[in-house]
Amino acid sequence: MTSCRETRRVLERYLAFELPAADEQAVRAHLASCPACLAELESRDPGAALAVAFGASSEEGGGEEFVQAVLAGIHQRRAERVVGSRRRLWGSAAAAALLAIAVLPLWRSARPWLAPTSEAESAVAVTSNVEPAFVEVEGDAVRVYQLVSAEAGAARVALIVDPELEL
Amino acid sequence: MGIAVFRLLARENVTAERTDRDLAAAARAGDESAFADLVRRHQAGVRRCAARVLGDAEEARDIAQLAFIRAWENLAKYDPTWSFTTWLYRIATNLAIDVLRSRGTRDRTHVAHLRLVGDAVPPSAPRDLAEGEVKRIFADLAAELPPTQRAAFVLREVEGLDTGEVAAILGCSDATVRNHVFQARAVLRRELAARYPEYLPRGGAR
Repeated sequence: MTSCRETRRVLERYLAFELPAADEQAVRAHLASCPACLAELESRDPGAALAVAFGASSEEGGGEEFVQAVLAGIHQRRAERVVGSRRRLWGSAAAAALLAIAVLPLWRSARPWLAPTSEAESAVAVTSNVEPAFVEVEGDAVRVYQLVSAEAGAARVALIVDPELEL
Repeated sequence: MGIAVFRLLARENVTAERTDRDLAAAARAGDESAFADLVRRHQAGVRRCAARVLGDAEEARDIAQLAFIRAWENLAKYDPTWSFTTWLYRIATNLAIDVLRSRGTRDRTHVAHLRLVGDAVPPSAPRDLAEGEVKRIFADLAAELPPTQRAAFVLREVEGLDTGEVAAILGCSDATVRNHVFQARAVLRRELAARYPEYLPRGGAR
């Protein structure tokens, strides 16, 4: 327990942050409980004295209600994150679908080199004596390749549907 | 820092069985009941500190709640070599400083109102003031302090944390904390003389 005499002796050092932490706490505790020494501090620094008086005042506690409110807040944030991630997932899927719808026609038209399967190509080639010609016929939903070959002056035609397309 | 940590732990009534670090480690592993114990242990200090920085008990309750939620969400980032209290106060203080910064002109209006109310208060020295008066005058005068300076002053001078601890909470040097506190004292001294001269001791302060 710090005495009034000791407190007043070190008051200037208290204000100048020159006391060790333990001594400082002892002085503060004394000031908070001794009106005469607090008055002495006021005469030197009213702001510091006001702070000590304010520090000695009580504040309302939280109780168990506050603890439960914090836990409820944690649960709510967690639920919001789950909903948010699901929204993001569905949003990403929707964006991907829209992108596919927008880009697919361009992608298709950018693939004039799209070839029929090698199996179908070879079936035509067996009966062909010339290199097959590829003719692309655009439809609404399917893309059709026309393989034309000539055999002994007669034209043979094979229509091959792009196997990547869903019919 | 060591003494301060010991003092804080002692002040917050840490049981010998489970320290803050034990509880924080369990909470980090997903143990909500361990985190609830941390909230029970520290809620009074965090709410009191936030209330004193903000000067508004209701707002302080919200900020304290948010601070604990943030702490839970960021437990993975908590470094156990630090005092849990310091880490928690850092979160709460930063949130409170953000609120102070966002207040802007609202605070100045509030201060003007308080000044009018203050005129009707009968003269008496701060040491003789009722608790409610001390809070009201402090809230009035502290509104003049910039947010970080105000937080430093409350933590150091009102809450009684040592300078090193306040520096750790605010993320600045000890010298900066001392500078904030010196400046805050000067502002309070000046504002007290201007607004509440009747509260100053006879002969004035040096």
